[in-house]
Amino acid sequence: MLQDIRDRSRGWLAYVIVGVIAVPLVLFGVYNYFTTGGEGPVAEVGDQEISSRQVSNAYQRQMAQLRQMLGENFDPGMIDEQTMRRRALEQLIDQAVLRGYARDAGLRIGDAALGQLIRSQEVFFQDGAFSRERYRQVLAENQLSPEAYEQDLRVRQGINQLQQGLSESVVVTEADLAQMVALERQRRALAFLRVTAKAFTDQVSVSEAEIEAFYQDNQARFQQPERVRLDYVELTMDTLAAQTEISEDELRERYESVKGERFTTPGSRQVSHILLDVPGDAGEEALQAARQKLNDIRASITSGEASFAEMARKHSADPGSAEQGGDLGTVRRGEMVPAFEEAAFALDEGEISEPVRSDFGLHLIKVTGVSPAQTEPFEAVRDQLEADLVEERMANRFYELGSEVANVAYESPDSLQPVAEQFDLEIRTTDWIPRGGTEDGLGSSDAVVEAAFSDEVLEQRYNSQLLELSGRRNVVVRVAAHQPPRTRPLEDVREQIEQALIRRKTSEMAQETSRSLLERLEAGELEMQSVEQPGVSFEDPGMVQRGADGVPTAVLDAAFRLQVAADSAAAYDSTGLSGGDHAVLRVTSVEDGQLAELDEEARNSLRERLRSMRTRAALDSLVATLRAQTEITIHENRL
Amino acid sequence: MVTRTDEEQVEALTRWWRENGRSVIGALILAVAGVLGYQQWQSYQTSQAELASALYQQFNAAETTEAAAETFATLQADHDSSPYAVLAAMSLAQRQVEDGALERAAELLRWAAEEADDAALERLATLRLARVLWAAGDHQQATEALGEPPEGGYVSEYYELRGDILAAQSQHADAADAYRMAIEEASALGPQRRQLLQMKLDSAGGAAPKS
Repeated sequence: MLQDIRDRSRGWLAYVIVGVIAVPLVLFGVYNYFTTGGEGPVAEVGDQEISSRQVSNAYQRQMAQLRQMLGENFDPGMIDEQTMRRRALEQLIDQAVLRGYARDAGLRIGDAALGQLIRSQEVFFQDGAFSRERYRQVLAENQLSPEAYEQDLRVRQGINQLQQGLSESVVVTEADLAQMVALERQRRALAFLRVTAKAFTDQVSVSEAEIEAFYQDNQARFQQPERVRLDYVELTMDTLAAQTEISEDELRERYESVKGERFTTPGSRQVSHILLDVPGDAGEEALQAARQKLNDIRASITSGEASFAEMARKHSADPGSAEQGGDLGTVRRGEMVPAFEEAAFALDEGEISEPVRSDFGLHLIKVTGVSPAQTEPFEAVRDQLEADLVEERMANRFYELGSEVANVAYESPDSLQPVAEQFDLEIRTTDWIPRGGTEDGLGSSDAVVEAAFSDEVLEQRYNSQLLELSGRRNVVVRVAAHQPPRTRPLEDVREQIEQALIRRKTSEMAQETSRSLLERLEAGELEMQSVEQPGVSFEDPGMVQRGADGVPTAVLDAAFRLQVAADSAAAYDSTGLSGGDHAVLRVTSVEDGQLAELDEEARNSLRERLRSMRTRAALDSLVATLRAQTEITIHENRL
Repeated sequence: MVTRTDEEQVEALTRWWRENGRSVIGALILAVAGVLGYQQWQSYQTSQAELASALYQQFNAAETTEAAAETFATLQADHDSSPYAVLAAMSLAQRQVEDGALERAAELLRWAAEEADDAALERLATLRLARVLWAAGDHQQATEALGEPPEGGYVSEYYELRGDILAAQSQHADAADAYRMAIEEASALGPQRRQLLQMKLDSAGGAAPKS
């Protein structure tokens, strides 16, 4: 038999069979070859893979969060997509590392906890309770099998237990608090000499050669960017206000057309009801029985045998209103289910409806009070209407005028004169505006700056289009003067350079003075408070805390860094101050803050602060340790 | 190629089976038993882990320290290799610290550090142990517990604590070095932590050491 097969496998049939088998194999291989490149994982974390789709989803979530956080300030252009995707990937890797750890270490919850957790999630609720059907449906919509979802949830909860455990077990001892207080509330006895640089101004001189050298060495500081001066005409809505008048007839007409919507408070009814429970799937018989019962109740009320309130208390299945004699309070349109509303608003005061069917059951409705709809009279809203109309008309006029101005400016592109004459506008000129714009004035508008440096306006010297500064202010600009980028000439900046050199020299002298003072103070040749020297003043703030007011920050920083040896009376240091001044400081004693100074509240808030700091550090370090132990490969090209 | 008849080939197969049949069947049975055993073992591990998890949840829900200690004792006895036992030990230590029982806390943390199966939890427990010993004023033991600098995570916390221990012994220059490392080694330092470390560094003589 085997021999037969071997014999026959030499003929044409064999080739056909081999061909039939080979072709799909080859195609399958080629297909795989083309697809795996794009679909491979972006990163491998141990034995887990992170797909490009996961990164995209995480990225989208982050963007959505940013958008929500920043609100109006959100500008997608500010965000570098690659950086954000990278950050999203890092977070996914953190999660994967934690998941791998939880799985290997056996961090997971059991069946009971899992069941409880799933049953408590509102996504799976239907009609206010967990629904198995809804659970399956939600999972199916997300393309998850219950097994996969539950497995994932077990481990995720395990991770939660871990993170919560780490943060709840953070140790903060009394010694920690004492250390914090000792540092944060430390007080030091401080005195210092301020050496004022200005005092040395008479002793320094600046030569022409020095100015020249400074100018040559600091060319970058004297660059002036390209800039323009603009001629412009301005159209503002406010100037149109005076020209707008509204007739009484127009006001009346507007009032009639909008009063129903804008000036009418809808009517309401005081309603009571008696409810009989009839489930939505109840049969015709049950419904009929309930209807009969309500009709009997209705009859006994209308005949005066019993009051509506009594019957409500006795029969109504609505526990909230039954106690109140069926009273539901004031009801407006749109608040109740349609069937109920229709019946209630068809009744007059004191009337009782026929039985009404709704989702809740069968109702008997009584209207106990009617407040009709109220419309504000014309006189009361006249001024408001007039203001609205003026605004509308002005906006229209402003828009029309704008397009006319734009047309004229476009038709005579080489001058603003025609526009100015025809519309009685004044041509004004701005100060210099560089490419980067200015703080205020026309140069602060991006639209104006962009137009001013555009090819049409700058190169061709045409009028600009109508530019919107705000909804109420438009301009047309043209270039009045243009200056290309240049190095400012020495004459323009001589004064500035001279001042800079004087500041530098006086500051050096102040530093030199403070250095020699420091030496003599440390050698014990001088007493700080008895130094009398031009430009040097003694200041004695006494016991100060960190961040104390009225003492230069640099002096405080240096003071709190000084080591005061136990056997010496004082420690000295010197430091530079802003504006070229210098200071020599002295610390004579250090008093640590005492934990006893803190009241209960301050102590607790300090403890919380330390606790949250340590929690964060512990969680970050946990992830860092796990990352260091896990083999992580990132395929940058797939990101 | 030598061609054989069908009979010859069948004959060869039969002979081979007579010689090796037993070993093949034996190997198959062993393999099946191995797979089944492994699965059994795994599902046992899983159920143990879930049991520990439930106990840990019960531990967390305990209102008094005594009740928590009781649940912890069960975890300690039956699940000492589970991270849940380590987490519970650290939590209980925290409760002891709140109650001022530093010694008892140190004992628990020492147990946690020894039992922790993985570096992540071990380092954390070790750091907390050294922190508690430092708080108790036992600088010698704190230094011993702290040990060598770790790699990967907890590096900044390690150096901060080392600085604290040195500063408590008035070795300011060494403390300053340690604090400097703590600032440098932190991958993402929160502003509050940076401020605190800077303050400690300044207080130890900081950026401008004086002679």
